[in-house]
Amino acid sequence: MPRYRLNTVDGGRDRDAEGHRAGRRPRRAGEAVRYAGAVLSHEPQALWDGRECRVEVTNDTEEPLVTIVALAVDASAGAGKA
Amino acid sequence: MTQPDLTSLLRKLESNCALSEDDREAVLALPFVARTVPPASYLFREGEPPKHCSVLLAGYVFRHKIVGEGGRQIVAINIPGDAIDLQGLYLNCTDHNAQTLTEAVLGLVPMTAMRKLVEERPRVARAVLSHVLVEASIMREWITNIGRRDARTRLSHLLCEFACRVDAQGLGRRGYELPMTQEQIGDVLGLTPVHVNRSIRALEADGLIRRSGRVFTIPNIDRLRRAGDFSSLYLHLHKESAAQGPATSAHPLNDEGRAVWR
Repeated sequence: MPRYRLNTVDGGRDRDAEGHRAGRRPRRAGEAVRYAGAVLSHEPQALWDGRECRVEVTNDTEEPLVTIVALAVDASAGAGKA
Repeated sequence: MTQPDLTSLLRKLESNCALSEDDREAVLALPFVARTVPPASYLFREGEPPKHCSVLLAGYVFRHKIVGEGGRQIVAINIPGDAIDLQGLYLNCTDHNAQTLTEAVLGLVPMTAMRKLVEERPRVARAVLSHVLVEASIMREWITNIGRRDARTRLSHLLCEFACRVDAQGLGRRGYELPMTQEQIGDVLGLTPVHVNRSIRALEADGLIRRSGRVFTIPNIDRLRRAGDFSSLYLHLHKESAAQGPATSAHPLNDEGRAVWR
């Protein structure tokens, strides 16, 4: 059965070596959102210093299927205060 | 394997409650059937009446619940020497599932024989109650772990607990095989497999663990303990002396090696 991977990019690239069995698209996207949410919840520093955190869903040949992007942007009133 | 007996059950029961010589002989005289079970076999399923008290003589077992959407939460891992279903001793049906992680050798003691032993021997009854209470203590710690600790701390905590338990059973001190897939570890910790993978690699990068396949080596136990917010208090590994009654401290020894756990 084809597999998909959830790779994380936050400073470096964290490749999902094992992958997951491919399901329907909404399920893959849901997995990616849940995983991105978990990374941000457990590692909020992933967004510090203006970095972005991306979770890229790819197929077995590394073709991108879905990308979840999270980034923190300082508003002018809060610049440097977060 | 030599001829199986119930020595490991006796050792487990005596770990929290000293037994008399008569009690020991009665435990070892329990009727049982030894059975070898392949990996991934169900030992019992939720809703079934408990038939046996299974003693895990070799191999590993996990207990789990399945939610409506099909997700699985692993609620316990059993290692050699554990009695798997003493919690069902006086219940009409099991409330969770049990499956082998690896090939396992089980000693199947009929529930009726176990109930009779408990009813006739108060010290054995106390030992069984202590065993069940320790399981409840571990359950409280697991709830705390997945409810209030982050992924890295959860994983470190699990690795410390496993190291501590296999050490207590004499199965390894500084390293051990954790016979679980990353999906199964995720089902223990409430994490996705990819998050488990990321957390394992983070611990490796920080020098807290070394890994070869499923064999984990812990170069510095104290560092991993700090990373996992781990204290072995909840495992209640102290032994009770027959002469002294209940032990008063969970940290009785401070010798090399074991001191880091207790």
